Amino acid sequence: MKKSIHFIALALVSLTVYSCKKTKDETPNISQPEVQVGQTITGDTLKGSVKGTMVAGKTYYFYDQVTVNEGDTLLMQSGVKLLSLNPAAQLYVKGAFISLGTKDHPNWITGIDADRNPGKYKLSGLQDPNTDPGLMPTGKMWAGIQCEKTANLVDIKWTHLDFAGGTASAANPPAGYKTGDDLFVIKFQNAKGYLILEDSWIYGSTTDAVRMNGGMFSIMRNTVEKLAYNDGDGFNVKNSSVGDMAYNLIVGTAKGGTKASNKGTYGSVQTNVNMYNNTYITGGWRSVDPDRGANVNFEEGAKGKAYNNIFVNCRTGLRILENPAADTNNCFYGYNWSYGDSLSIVNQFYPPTHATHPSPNDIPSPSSFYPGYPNSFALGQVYSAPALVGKNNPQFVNFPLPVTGTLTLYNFVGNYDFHLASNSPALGKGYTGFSAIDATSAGVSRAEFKATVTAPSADLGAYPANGSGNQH
Amino acid sequence: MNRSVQPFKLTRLSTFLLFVLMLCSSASHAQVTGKVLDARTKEEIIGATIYLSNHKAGDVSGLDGSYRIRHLAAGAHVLHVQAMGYEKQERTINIADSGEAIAVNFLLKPLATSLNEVMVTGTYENGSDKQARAIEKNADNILNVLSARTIKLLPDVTTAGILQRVSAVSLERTATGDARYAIIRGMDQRYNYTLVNGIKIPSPDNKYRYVPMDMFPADLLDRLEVIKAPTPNMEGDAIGGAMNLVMKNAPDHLTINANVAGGFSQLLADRGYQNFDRTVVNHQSPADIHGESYVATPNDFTYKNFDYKKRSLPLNGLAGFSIGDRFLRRKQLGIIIAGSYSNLFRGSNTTWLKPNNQPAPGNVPSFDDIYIRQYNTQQTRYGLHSKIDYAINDKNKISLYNLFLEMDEIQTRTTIDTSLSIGRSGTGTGNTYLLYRSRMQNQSIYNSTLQGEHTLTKGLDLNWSAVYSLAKQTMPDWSEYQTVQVVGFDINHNHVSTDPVLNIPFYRIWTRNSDQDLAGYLNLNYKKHIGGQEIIISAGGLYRSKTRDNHYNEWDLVPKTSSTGQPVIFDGQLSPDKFQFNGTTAAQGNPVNPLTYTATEKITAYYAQANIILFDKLSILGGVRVEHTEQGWHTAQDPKISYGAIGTVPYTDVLPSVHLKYKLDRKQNLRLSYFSSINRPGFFEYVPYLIQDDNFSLSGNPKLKHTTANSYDFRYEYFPKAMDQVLVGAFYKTINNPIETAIQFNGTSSATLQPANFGTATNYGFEFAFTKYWGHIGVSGNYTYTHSAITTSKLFYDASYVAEQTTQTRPLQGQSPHIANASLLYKNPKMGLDAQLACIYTGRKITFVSPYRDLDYWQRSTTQLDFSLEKRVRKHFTVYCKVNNLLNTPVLVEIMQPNIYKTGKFALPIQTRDDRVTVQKDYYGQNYLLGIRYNFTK
Repeated sequence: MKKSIHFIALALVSLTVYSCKKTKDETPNISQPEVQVGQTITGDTLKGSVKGTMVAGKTYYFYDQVTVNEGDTLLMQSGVKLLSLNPAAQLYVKGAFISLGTKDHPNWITGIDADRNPGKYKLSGLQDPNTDPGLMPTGKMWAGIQCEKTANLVDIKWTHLDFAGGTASAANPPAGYKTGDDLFVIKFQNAKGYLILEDSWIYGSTTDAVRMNGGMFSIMRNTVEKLAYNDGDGFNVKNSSVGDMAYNLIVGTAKGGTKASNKGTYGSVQTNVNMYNNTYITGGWRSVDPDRGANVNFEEGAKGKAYNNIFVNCRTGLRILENPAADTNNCFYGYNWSYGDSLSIVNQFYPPTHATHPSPNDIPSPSSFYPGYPNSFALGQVYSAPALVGKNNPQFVNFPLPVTGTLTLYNFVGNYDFHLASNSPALGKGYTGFSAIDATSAGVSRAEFKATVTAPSADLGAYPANGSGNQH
Repeated sequence: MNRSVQPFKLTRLSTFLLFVLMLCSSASHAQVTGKVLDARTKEEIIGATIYLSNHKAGDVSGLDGSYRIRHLAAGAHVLHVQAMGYEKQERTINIADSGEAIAVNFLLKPLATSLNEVMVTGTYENGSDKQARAIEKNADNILNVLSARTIKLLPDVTTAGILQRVSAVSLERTATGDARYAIIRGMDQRYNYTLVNGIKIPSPDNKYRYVPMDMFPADLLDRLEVIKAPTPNMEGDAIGGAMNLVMKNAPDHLTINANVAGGFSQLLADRGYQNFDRTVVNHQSPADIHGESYVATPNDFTYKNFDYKKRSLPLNGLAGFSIGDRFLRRKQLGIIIAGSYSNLFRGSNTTWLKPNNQPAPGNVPSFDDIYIRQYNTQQTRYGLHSKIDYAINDKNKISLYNLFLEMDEIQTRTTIDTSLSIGRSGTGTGNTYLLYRSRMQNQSIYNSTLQGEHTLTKGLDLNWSAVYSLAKQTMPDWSEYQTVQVVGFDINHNHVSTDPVLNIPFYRIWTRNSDQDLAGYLNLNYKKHIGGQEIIISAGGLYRSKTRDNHYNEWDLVPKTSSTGQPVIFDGQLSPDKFQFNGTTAAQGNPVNPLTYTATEKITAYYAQANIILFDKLSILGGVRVEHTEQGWHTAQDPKISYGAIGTVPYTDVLPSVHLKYKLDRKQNLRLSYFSSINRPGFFEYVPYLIQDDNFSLSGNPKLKHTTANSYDFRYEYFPKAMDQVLVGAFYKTINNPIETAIQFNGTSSATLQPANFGTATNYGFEFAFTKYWGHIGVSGNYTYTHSAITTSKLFYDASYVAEQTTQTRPLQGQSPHIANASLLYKNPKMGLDAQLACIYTGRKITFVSPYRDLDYWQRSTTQLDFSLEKRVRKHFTVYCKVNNLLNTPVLVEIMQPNIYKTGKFALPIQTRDDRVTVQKDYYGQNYLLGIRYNFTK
């Protein structure tokens, strides 16, 4: 009997030892989205997954999320209109989206109402933002171009992107959004992908017009206005984004005009942006944040160059952040022209508290007003320069300076003309001893798709006298 | 149960407030001293009453069985001795005129009815320390037990507070300093589970399955067991261990207990208290009222939840009541009902330096904001527990157990947030945000268990349980608004500030979740003697179906801009006309989000185990448990479009374990255990959302694997006397696929924070616990050393502004290398006095894992001191007081990197050291409680 109990004991221990490592690994059963092969466009309405060509001169419609699958391309030839029937209409790009408008035959993506009654929606007067379709939440007619991490090319030329924005849909918020989040007009997030936006227009947005979380880009010669209600920038690029923002006319942004940050970077690429020959008008006033609202921003860890820009009546001047610091050793800037109609504006040409180093070639010259400059001065110091108010008018062809009426409502282009008049003092004051980064040409080489990179010009702002800049 | 009457004169409570007084005893002539011992086992008997025939003098035997009667007149005296479960004894002694002390020991015979072994253990007073020691000693596996007696005396009012007194247990605290989640042997709360009377209960938490232990009022407990080595008949997801809350059972005689107490928080007494009126909160969201597609307007929300009412000194209140008895002719029917209520006001003052998620180049810590916060919390807890048991006959018993717990909390948090990154030109400048958060949280747990115990034939027992549990949480209208202004200097160096304006966002969140369990347990035990050795063979199983339902709606109100396109200066009054929504889905309350999902979990488990005792010395308990799990989820996303909107994950684990106990002698055991265990991913961890956070995307991981572990335990136990013990143990665990949230690399260009499995982690250490009494004075303590190591992926942000992929080895999150408890106890049964000074030391531990190498947040070691005292004041009445956090110990959190922030333009507050950067400093203040307890036993 004793033996039997010893046997049981032994059996118990051996069973225990035997059953070690018997755990079966899980074989998860995870739902896969329905594979919807991209359909070649046949009728005039885009729906589901699409690919192929939208032919020249034709008008198309969309009313919901339209997907361009990974590996597929959706191409708009010139003179194409893509009209939204519903604010939920959205281009959801996992592959490539190309819009090849031309100067004579631009493309349009906008709401059908705005297309039919442009005068009702595009107001050319000083307008309360709460009743301005370009800024009101109810003025958003389509939900932007939202790209997944797989999107390898977004190439937009001579295209109007009007009244886009709103909040992310309940059905399928693209990666990075949750339902209800503010939508960017263009969101791009592939550090190995290319974004080309040139000679185009963006009118109205909910938040940033372009937000990049990685990618190589060329953003040139665009005209953007009425961007963001009270929380958003013009072109805002973050982690591992490299490219140029040049010859853009940026009017009436809620916060900043152009912005670069190296936040959340991963991989071997540091954010590097050249911002040159842009014209910034009345930026930053709707921002609830008293310190954000600059024309040019280099933030956390970003590097790049900022030359030959014109800043008119922007709430805050060029910001080089000190904490978390921009890559200040590799931020180069100067030859920028600042104009202000009020003391609070001119006292922010070099924003106090920031690490912006006044450049001797800036206009107005810092030696004329910046205490202690150039021999002994403190970065980010508070100063007061009443003598600068209304001085250094860049002499646009048609824009009232000083402005009349409510300065902060000059957030539109309308019939104004921001070309430099022939007598403009901003002609020939620039710096051309640097070049564009030209981050896209190596990857996008086919002639029709390739970015047209305009080199820096000695004429300040987006409209050099030789006509090589902004074509609008 | 027969309580001895205490016929002695009372002394004033105040006399005994200091231990030092108790240590003084005047030398006296003419006294009799001695010990009262069990005649059979020679164990000391505690609480025996020794008195003279004339009732003029007497004593109660102390914790080492000793007694002393002083000031005896010369001559003959008759000493009577009586103790529960023993025959009475009397003896005549003669005191000589010289007044010498004499020694008399008593050997009491157990009552005849107590001779049966089972009955002997049964005669331990339920909830006594002695019973607790006996359970630890006699258990077949490794566990620690705290008795109701100990619990009553501890300075804690919730079970969470009590748990931290157990060897190798430390606790995670809430923002107001309340202990909440238990970490056992350095294993995070996720690796442990909670049982009530052996039945696993679900959690009201919306993300995780672990139960907030501060929901359980301490006064409902009969005892608390922390099981560190589960046997095959227990559920296998206890890599760290399991906490079993054994609730009060029906007593043999009519027993009534009641207590009422009041107190206050020193911190609130110093700085005042403010909160909102809970009745203004809309429990239903606009979507609940009008449907999910309803497009809300700012008029759909109340703004009164930001009307804060101030109070100078809110008083805490606690009350508890229990009544129990047995009925019918043979007392077959037992009923106990207990209720508990507490209303506590808590506060904390915190300073938090928000690190910028991405460090400065060179991987140097960098900071965004200084948050100075005040929390005000009112916690109301309700507990109701009832147990009805009925013995149908000798062989069949059934019982019905019901438990309902609720915790309602309202909390305001006010924050002054000074930005370090925006508008900062030195101390006292920068963008300044004032944030006001109002939050209401209701959590409840309901459990109903029907149990049966049946003797089928001689030696064959069967027991079963049918269980329904429901855990719920609602957080209606959790909201926070903020204003912003920039503070700086003007040209003349005067401090100036812009006018405050409403900032973005103003969120309003309604969240609710419920966890419903239906479970059945069946166990068969067969006991047989083979060749003089006893063997118990057990087999059984469990089926549980769990359904979790989560809802989350968030409305983000955006402040309106003025007609001139500028922010509106805030006049201090919130009203709907100041806000709008940015889009339709925003006004619908973000209906599709990762926190809206349903999840299920079906567990089928069965086991077989045998317990063999060889040579009366060696007990072997071993066996195998098989658990089949099927977890599943269904999010609000459309599965046709979104990857992983629906998923199921089935897996099966075979979990062997063996527990050896070798009795060196009657008082010493050696134990050796091996067990295999698992940890299941939380439902929330699977759900495959992707959210763009400030720096990185956050994502769930449907491909997450469950964790498996092998644990080895060794323990030496010595129980020299009934109340004394020495435990020395060591443990070693290997953990496969531990789940940690860390940075994940998708391809070469993007990084996401998500829960993932990380190879194999190890965790080992040793424990030491002891309790020793010398007469009335006792010392109890425990110490645990734990070492753990895990290697996870990290980023390193180098000097050239790019982040490289790297790895870092570190301890498990929440694991302290050193945990120690020490208590100084004074127990004087004669005076009915108990006092305890308790100290907890918790070593440094990681509280947050940074995505970047060597930038984890470490909480500095803390030492907390608590005091409690109770004194019987009249028959049936006891007065008690508890003082918590005597030293007002701050919580300090640090990044262990050279400190460049002690001076300069970006100098930070609360910095004291050069070798580390302080990122958080919290104060909670002392808490005082004074109460009275009533105890009646027929």
